[in-house]
Amino acid sequence: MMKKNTAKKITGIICGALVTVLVLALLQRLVMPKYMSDVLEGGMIAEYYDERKDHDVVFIGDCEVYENFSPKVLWEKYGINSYIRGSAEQLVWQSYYLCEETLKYEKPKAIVFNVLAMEFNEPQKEEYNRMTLDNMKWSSSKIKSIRASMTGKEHFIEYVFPILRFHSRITELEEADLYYFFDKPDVTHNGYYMRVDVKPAENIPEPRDLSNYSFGENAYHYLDMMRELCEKEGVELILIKAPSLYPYWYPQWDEQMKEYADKYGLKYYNFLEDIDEIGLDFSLDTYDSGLHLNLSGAEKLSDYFGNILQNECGISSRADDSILSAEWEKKIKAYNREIELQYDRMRKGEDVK
Amino acid sequence: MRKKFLMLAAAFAVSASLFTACGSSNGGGSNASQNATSQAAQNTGGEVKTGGDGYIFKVNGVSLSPDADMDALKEQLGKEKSVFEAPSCAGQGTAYTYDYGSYTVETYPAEDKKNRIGYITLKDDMVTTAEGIDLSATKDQIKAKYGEPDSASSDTTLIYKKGSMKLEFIFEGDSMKSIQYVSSVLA
Repeated sequence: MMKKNTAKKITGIICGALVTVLVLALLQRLVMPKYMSDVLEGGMIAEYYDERKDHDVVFIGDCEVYENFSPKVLWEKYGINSYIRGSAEQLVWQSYYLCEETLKYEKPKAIVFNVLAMEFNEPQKEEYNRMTLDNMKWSSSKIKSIRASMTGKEHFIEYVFPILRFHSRITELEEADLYYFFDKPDVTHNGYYMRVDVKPAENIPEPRDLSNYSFGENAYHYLDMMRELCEKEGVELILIKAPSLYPYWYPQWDEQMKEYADKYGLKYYNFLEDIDEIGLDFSLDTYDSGLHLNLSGAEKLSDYFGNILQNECGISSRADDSILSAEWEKKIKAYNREIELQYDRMRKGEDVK
Repeated sequence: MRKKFLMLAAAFAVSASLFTACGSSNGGGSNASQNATSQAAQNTGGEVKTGGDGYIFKVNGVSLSPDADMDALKEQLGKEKSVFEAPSCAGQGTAYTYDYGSYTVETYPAEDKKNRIGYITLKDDMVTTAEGIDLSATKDQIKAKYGEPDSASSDTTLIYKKGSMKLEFIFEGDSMKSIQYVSSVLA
């Protein structure tokens, strides 16, 4: 009888603990930002996990990759299956750990890294950290990335239990928090964030003089790690600088990247030097005054880079792969649907996103 | 059965109380929407710099300092030659560059949602620092006025830190290229 009572008590305690955990988990899910209305960028990192991991090229980096390259064009014109693992203000250590994580899932022929992030040598803002880190799946790469990224005000425990960070949202929940509680639609096309609108580049300020043009040791440390990892895994690391006009890419920075690429035998493409060849017209091909390309700009750049990937980097076409072709057929339909949707919103005078 | 129900209710109450207690201890509400941005900003309790505790640039009777609220000063500064808007990635506010010819003011979107000054750059000798230094000054003249520079200085830059900002004199060879007032938020 005693044993029966003890067993009952233990069962009760376990049930109680499970209910507590379940309630907290549901509350956590409820208060976590869904990134589905104004800041879509926060949800991008998660989308990769639903992909079939069989890419020829994976882009890694900040907004200069996810807003400037269209994997759809790389597939349609060159038969290159690519994905962009981009996030807002992605820092070099975050790119490294995303690269490390990606290479656990798949071995692409090339990893393409945008070098603008080299300007940052230290953690910057929690808001951006969250957009890259919160939606990474738990792994040693995520843990190390959190540790490398935290600003002085952040706590590791708040990444493990985001409810500790976002609990006060309980008083300001929106319809979207309930609507996207269980599932969220993709906001990108293989990582590409599409914008069809146009805002010409005007009044771009003169670059401000810097007291020091040297990239920091920490930034180089993680670039070295990325290079060594790619080398070990037999994946080509390609460095690029997207042709965004602002923030300014200083010649002194470019020189350092050229020297780095030369020293280690890497390919480095600064597309700012190829704006005319690419055919970019910054009165038409940008939606935010030259910071990022719009759809027409991204498609021109992707066409240009696809040619390089195929002819200089030896990435061959897989257009005859029937499984991939079937997947891309669906993806291209979704891509074209979004183009129509955005133009429709523009005609109505609404925000395109 | 009643016992089980009571235990489940207690478990729920514990988790709910943990949740609300946590909320109130941290100040609770903010005007955050979906994104982590303003949410995170308000909850970190990060001190918002408001400027004025360091070197000040005076022009046309207006005092400008890093971290000051530019929107409160714009009208007094008069019409700028041009303005460049740089929306931050992922809706983190907009940074602006106001070009006034002899000097530019670059702002950043602060955590309190204000348009605060990040950099003031003096570009020609039509303007001077409040201490009377312009682009024609030599390193010795600067040192005579401001004293020995900060240890972070280099052959090309003399740096003077004061309060939450720093003043930089940037040289190319012997000639000064620019004078910059820099917020510690961006440095």
